[in-house]
Amino acid sequence: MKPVSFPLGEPTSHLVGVTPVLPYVVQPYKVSPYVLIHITPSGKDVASAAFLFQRKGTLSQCYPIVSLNGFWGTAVIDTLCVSPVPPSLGKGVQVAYNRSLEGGSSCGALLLNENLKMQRTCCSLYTRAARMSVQTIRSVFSVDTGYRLTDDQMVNHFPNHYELTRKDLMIKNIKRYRKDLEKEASPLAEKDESGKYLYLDFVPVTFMLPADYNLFVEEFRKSPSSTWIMKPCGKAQGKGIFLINKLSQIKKWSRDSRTFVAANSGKEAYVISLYIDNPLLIGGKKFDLRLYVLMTSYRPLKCYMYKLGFCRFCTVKYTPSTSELDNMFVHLTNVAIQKHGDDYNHVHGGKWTVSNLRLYLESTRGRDVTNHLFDQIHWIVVQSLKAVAPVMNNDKHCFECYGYDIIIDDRLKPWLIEVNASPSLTSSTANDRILKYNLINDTLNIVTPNGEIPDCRWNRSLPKEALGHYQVLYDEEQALSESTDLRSCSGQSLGSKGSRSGSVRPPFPATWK
Amino acid sequence: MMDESTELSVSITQIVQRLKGTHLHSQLEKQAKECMHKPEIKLETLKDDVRRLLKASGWERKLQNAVYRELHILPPPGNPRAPPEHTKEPLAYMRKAQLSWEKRILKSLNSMCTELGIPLARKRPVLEQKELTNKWNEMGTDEPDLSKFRPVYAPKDFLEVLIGLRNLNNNRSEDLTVRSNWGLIQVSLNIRDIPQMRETYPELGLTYGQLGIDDHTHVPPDLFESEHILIGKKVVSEQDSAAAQQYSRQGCPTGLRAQLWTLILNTTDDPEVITHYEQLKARVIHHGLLVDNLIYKDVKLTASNDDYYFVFEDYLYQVLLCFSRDTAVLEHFNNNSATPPKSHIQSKSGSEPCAVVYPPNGVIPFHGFSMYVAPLCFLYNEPSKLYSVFREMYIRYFFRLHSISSHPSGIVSLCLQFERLLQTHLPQLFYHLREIGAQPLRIAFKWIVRAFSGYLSTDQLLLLWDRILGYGSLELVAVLAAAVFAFRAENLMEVTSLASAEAVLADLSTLKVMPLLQIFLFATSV
Ligand SMILES: Nc1ncnc2c1ncn2[C@@H]1O[C@H](COP(=O)(O)OP(=O)(O)O)[C@@H](O)[C@H]1O
Ligand SMILES: [Mg+2]
Repeated sequence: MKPVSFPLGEPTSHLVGVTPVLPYVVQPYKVSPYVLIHITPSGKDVASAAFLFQRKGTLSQCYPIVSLNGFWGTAVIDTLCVSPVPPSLGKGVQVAYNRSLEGGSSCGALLLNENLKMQRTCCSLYTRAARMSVQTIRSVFSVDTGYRLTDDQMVNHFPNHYELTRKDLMIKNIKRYRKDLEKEASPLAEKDESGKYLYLDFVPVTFMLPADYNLFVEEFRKSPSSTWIMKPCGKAQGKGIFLINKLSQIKKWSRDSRTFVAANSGKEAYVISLYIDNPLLIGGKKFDLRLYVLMTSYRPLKCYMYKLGFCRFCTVKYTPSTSELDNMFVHLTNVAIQKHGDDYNHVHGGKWTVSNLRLYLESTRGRDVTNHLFDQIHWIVVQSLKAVAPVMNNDKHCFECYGYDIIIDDRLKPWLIEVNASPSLTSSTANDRILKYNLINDTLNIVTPNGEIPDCRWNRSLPKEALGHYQVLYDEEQALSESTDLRSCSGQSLGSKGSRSGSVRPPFPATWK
Repeated sequence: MMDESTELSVSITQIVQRLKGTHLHSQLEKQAKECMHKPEIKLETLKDDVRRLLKASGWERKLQNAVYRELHILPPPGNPRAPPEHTKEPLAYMRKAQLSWEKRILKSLNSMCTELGIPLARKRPVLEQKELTNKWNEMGTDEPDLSKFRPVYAPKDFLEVLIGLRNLNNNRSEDLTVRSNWGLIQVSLNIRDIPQMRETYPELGLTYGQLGIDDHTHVPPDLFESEHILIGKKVVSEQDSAAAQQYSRQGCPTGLRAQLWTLILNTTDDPEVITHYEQLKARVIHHGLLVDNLIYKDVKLTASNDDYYFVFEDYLYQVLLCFSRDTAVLEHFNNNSATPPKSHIQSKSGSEPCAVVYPPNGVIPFHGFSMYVAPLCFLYNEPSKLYSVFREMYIRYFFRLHSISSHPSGIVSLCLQFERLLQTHLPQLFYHLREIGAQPLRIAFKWIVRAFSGYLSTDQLLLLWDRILGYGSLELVAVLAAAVFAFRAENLMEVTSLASAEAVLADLSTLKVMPLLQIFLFATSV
């Protein structure tokens, strides 16, 4: 079989080239039959250097060397998982890999034949720094390239995923979604006396800057003691973020940045959001949730929630005191930030599983409130996806694994902070490594069931056993058929035991879209 | 020997004695006096009327719970003429072994003190007191230099002592059969076998519903769970310690566990509990102790690196530092084969050094001690509550895991129990491991000493501790250790060294406790 490659224009955007993969040694990993290996480049000249399999952090053992010359561009490979090819495809191995680039990471999968020569890509998941991937992914679908994906090629992004994963566009779409529901007089759009949405108030109040500057000032003056958080729209990992609590700070910023913007001739757009200054603290520390959501289709909506999410803890005690506003170790939960703190612990990396959180909350606050919280979280994820579904280019070759950032406040209300199209797949600890490994594996198993050559025409309704650690979060098709068949609205929540697919309980019993 | 009725009356006198003068006592008196002014009280039926009112207002239940608690910590009845240490531990060789172990750890503590030139206790300068008060909630951040400190001992040192235990009087007896020589523990104690345990733990049987088992053969799990939760709510509302203890045998639902455990342990939320905790905190702030460094070090070495417990680091310092100052803990030595260690401390006026119990609670922490507290942090986020539950768990159960005694929940019995179970029911495995130099107890001992804390995933650990509280016994810890070996027997039969046997058993975080216990106890052929 001839190797299949992605004709993606200029060389730097090559995901999978045609360079043969040189022989390498595969060492079994303890959760066999797979192999999970970390690679870091051994030399400066990454493109031509051999890659050394090595674990990071406290795991300093070296693994056998693999040489993948030139193949990976300038990326650093973090994770590989290799599994045997299903017998139907002959002998060989299937490799799912994950690499990190400056400001992002990517992963993919390919089949190697018996001689470990590349046979074909069985799917590609490419993710990069937000800006990069927006361009790359668009070009795959652009008419100009004259390239069409074949039925056996799957891509791990939707062409215009940025509608959800850029901070400004997500807000725009959610605001539009609310307006639409309001126009339809949907019960979801109900407001309280003060004009706040009862059910759709799940993102912190946010404005675009500089565009909405006047609106922001108006809002700021209403509650001058609030703190706000400034975030560049196109950056990730906490880069460029700062907190403000005085209008003068924003004025100064706009003066400084205007010259900055001019110099770069770029369009450094920012969002400014109300800072959640009453986060739920555990052990006195702030944390947020990183949840993984797999999207296989926007129309009809079909998405999966990953059960192995985690909490990311700050290393420094939280204080709402304004004197610490510029201490990012107190306020930003990104691992990319926290790992530079003095108190960062490499054994656990400040990561605490969602099941720990659940156990803790249920033990200290009771079962009902805890179930309610998790139902709410699932509900806002579905709402955010519904908000972008109408504008999403629902190409059948696409799937996407999103990283949701959610903050829980001290009244146990969850807030959607942002959605990442390229959630970090690098691992900071031993357990994290297993998690990421499982995540890639389970994702691929849903997208390409049984490890077969994918077929985008599949109707993917998989048995529960095939979902790995995923569970169906929402299945529009099924929800529709159920509501016409039974009008049963009392679906159990995902969080509690014995979940049924396609039924996330809305915060109130009503028909909802 | 006493007969039953005298034994009973001795116990009653003891309990009455102990409850006299407690806060509860004065409150009961106050309530009774207030009753007098009520119209429904008649002079001719005074006693009954007061009793009725106390019952209706829930005070009788409080008294019952208090008595029930006393029953748990009542020293075993002994011959009134026997010296007190004989009541604490009837076997002379055990007493002797415990005594020499105590001397050893005390010596090690004292030599650390001289080596490092650090006083056992010192008054903190005012400035330092202020600082400590300010960072009480974040003691983990500013790290003292702990490189010089070593834990006074680790579980494996203690295991060596237990292995060395011999009953010299019993040397030639027929008791030590060839079979019992397979293991490391070379003394004989009364240990229950599986048929006896089936009678002791009927609620763990295959026909009972259990929290922690998802596939019951007889009961649909969802049905059982919702039913069990309803009953649990009732038990909580009744505020009855005995009922809560019985209930816990089938497992506590996560959402009710915190309340049920406080009920079982009768650790009330009285204001005096909070006051007591605040007093201990003040003592920590006023005086620094050498053992504080050992506590810091232990937390840093264990919980701070633990995927489950790291978020609770600061709670652990608070609880453990207060614990070391709590002289109320000394009371448990009535029940314990151990005696509180004494050290010489220079008193204020520079006069003769005097012997005092050190640390003030009489408990020298060892490597891993903080893991007794860590799982409780999942249940209580109020430090004073967390503290009182931990203290009660310690004085009822945990102390037995590091004192040499013949008590059925004592560490020696548990080790012996573990070895017997393996030997009897998995003789091939036992033989194989022994042959390759991987004595099972060498692997299991660390689990047993910590009652599995830090080895199981927390949800599973709590299910195990539900049963410890429910049956008022640590015996199931030994059973679980044996069940873990049984569960991994196939892999263990293939290993050829201690290191690889340890590797097979290194990660217990995926195990489900209740099915393991149930299968081992009720589905093993005997
Ligand atoms: N509105 C907010 N209130 C409180 N904390 C916030 C808010 N927005 C962001 N954060 C904190 O900042 C971190 C980074 O913000 P995020 O929007 O996720 O940007 P990035 O793309 O850089 O990760 C979040 O993980 C969270 O801890
Ligand atoms: Mg983020």
